[in-house]
Order: sequence, then structure tokens, then C-alpha cells
Amino acid sequence: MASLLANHIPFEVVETTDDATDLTHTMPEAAGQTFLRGVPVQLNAGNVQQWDGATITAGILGVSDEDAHNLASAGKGYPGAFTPVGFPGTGTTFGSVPNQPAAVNIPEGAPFSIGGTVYAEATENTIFRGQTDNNTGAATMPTKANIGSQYGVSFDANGHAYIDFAKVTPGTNTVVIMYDLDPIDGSIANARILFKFLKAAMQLAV
Amino acid sequence: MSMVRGAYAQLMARGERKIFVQWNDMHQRELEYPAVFNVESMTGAYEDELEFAGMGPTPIKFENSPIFYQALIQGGTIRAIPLTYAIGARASFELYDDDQYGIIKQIPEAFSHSNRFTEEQVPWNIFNLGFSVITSIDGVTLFNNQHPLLGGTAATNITPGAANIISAPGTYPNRPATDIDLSYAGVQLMTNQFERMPDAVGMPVTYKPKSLLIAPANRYLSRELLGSPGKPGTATNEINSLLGEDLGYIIGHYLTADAPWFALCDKQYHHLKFKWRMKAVMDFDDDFDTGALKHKSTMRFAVIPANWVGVWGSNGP
Repeated sequence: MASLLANHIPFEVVETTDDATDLTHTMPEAAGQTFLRGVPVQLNAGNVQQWDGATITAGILGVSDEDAHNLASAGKGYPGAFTPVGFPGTGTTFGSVPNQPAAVNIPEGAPFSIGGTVYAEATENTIFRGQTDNNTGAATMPTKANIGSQYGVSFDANGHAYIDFAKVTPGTNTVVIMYDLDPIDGSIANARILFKFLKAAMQLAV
Repeated sequence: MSMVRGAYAQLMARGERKIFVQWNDMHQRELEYPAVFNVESMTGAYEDELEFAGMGPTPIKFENSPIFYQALIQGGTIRAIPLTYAIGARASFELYDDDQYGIIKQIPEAFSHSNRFTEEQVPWNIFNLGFSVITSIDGVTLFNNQHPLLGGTAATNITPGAANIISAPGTYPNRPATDIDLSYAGVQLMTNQFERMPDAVGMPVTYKPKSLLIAPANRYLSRELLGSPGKPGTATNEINSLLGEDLGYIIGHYLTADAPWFALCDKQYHHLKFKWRMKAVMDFDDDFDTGALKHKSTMRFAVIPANWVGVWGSNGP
């Protein structure tokens, strides 16, 4: 079954419990990633990729702060210690260069890439906001009664993530805990809610 | 982390005669990379650089036949993305207040020391990693025995003498096929590769090396090679033919290995670039709750080998 909505608003950090700037970090991006900004991501062999949607124990690194770059190889161009950003500096190229198979054409305005993904790390201090839905297609309307309940996360047909009110079995399919209603949406259909990732679901558990 | 008094107990007591403050009392080397890199400034998140090759040689036009049309060749793109380099330190209010010698107040000078190293090491790693990781606009390593020419095999087919230099048709080297130590023969090989240098469509161009770039350990050898009146290391009467090349040498103190050596044309002829996005800016503030003093320094720059022409390297062996 599919979610009721085909598109969902990206996850984002809205506040932290210690009133500090949310912890963001950059790690090398896995090859061929096309995930969107505002979706859960995970580390796989040291490279960031979209969360697989299934690993609920230590499976979520954080939430992407930018779209993936569709890199030709993992971490392509990612700078090491005292090295500049490597070639080509983007994941978006076109055509070919005569007689130079490894060279690239970069279209004007192509998003730059340093070979990594910036993400907001899932920490106990970080409160995210995300839209609710139900993978059965049923209507979803969060209320105050849901605060403190655990839920899972699913992806819609267009690659966005949502808080899945059909995933409610702790230890089996839940990765977040509802922190509050969103002060703007309140209790409406497919409202956004404030949530934290469960410590058990955090990949780095900081 | 915060620096607190307990870790700097000696600063709390009066009576020390002399404190050797390394970041002020030890003199760092003068900046070296500006002698090698083209230093520019940039704005924005990135800058793209392109390459174009011209047309091949002018062909014959027989009587009353039409002229032969050719096209310019658009090459690839290389992008310079500045990275931000930043460092910070935090000292407790009590440490700052009780420091009898003003050492903690000198944190910004220590940052300058740190910045200098990073500002040097990043561009120099273009050379250190130029045989393996650093890639130029053609998509292959900066120092490569087979840089593909935009004109392809048609280019090297017409380059006079190319067959004696190249390892594969359609390519041109800025590195020996087999790496060679800094030596009389090595410098001759290097100058030969520059002498036969074509443009991307095969026509000879002038690229004259001006300096060798060497690790400190090779300075004596370089003096012998470039300064001996006779052929170095021989008991014969031959002159040192390298003298006529009028080469100098630059010692790179941030080169990590002794064996690699490089040759550079004058900066206007090569395309190694250091682009300042923001020179180092110091800032400080105090934390309201703790009174701790926080210092930071931030700078942004990019380094790119926009093209391989005009530079040459041998990785030892």
C-alpha cells in the first residue's frame, strides 16, 4: 500500500534541547546516491547513503541537509587532510570531452559537490519536524494523545520520508518518538509533528 | 575543550625568568607557495575553468577547390571549491585573568602559526599527491605519462618528433614513462619533453622550464647538476650542458618525500592556482554563563591544478 500523500515535506531540525546549534557533519557520500534533502541517512562502510528503511537498531545517522550528488564513485573528490576538493567538484555533468574520456563538462550552475553529504546528526538533543502519514493509505491526524508514542519512518513514491503511523511496534519497526505537535499545523490531517530519533535507532548514539 | 588553570599551573606563579613561547619565538619559514602557485582571489561558492583548443594546421587548397573548414574544440571543465579552515580555543575566565605572563592572550598568534602551515601544506600536496590523487582538467593525474590531447591521435601524428617522446598516440607526457631520479639524464629527459611540447592539436608551442622544484635533501645535488662547469660526476672534459638551460631550483619544504622532483615553467605559463576566498579572520567573544573567552580563526581558499601544461614531475623512482 502507498501513503495517502504522494509527496511529503522534508524532515528538518527545528530546535535543540540545549539551545545550541544543531550538530551537522559531513561524511563521504556513497556512489550513485539520489536521495533528497530531509530524509534519514545512514553510514555504510564509512559512506553516507539513504537509510535502508529496515535497520531500526543503530541504523540512522541523521537527516540529509542537501540532495545527494549521484557521485560516480564513493566520496569522489572528498578532501583528505590538507588536500583540496578533488576532481570534478560536482555530480552533474553532460556530454563528453573529445579524446579525453575521464574529463567532464560541467553545466553552468551545476550543484557543487565536495564528495560528501552534509547531514543533521541524530542526537538526543535534536528535535526534528516531519509530516505524518500511513503506509496503508489510511487517514492520519496526530493529536496530543500521540505525544510520547513511537513511530516508524517510510518513504513515499517520490523519495520523501514521512512519519509512518502504521509502524507502531517498538523494537520492530519504530525509530522515532513523538515530542510534540507542530505549533503551526496542530492537529490536522497529515500534520507535521516534532520528533526525536530513538537512541537505539541512532547509528552513532551521541 | 576548555583550557583551565590547573593545566597551566606555571602561569599562575610570578617569578619565571623566561618563557619560550614557540609560536612567537620560533620563526616560521617565509611563505613558499606564492613562488610556485598563481595566487588569485575568488568570490562565491565555486569557480569553473574551461579549456579550448584551436584548429589543426592550415592545409593546402588546390586550385579552385573550396577551403577546408575546421572547428574549435571545447575541452572539459574543472571546478575550484574553496574549503573553510577554522581553529578555535577556549580559556576559562579565571585562567585568562590569572595568567601572570600574558601567554593566554597570545592565542591569536598561535592561530597564525597554525594557519601558516595549512595555507602551505594544502597547495604543496598538489605536488605530493600529483602522481596518484590530484587530477587535472583532462581527468587524469596531474603528473602523467599519457595526458590525452583534445586533438587525439591526429595531434601527435603531426607533432614533429613526438614519436620519440610519447608513450601512446594522442597523448603527451609531463612525467617519464619510467620515473627517474633527479640526475643529469633526468634533467635532460625533462627538457626534451618540454622542447617537443605540442598544443592540444599537435602544433609545437614554447614551454621552457625555469626551475626545478626539489625536496631539501636534493639541494646539494641540484647545485652540482645546475652549477658544475663540467659534466657532473665525470672525469672527462665535457662541459655541463645543463648550464645552457639556465635552470634554477626551488626548495619545497612541504614536499613529503625526497625522491620526487619537478620542473616548472614561469608562473604565467602554468595553471597551478591558489584562490583566496577569504584570508584569515580572527574573532573572539566571551561566554556569558561561564565567562570563558573563546577565540577563533577562519579562512577559506581553494587550490586547483587547472591544467597540466607547464609543469612536469618524476616520482623518484
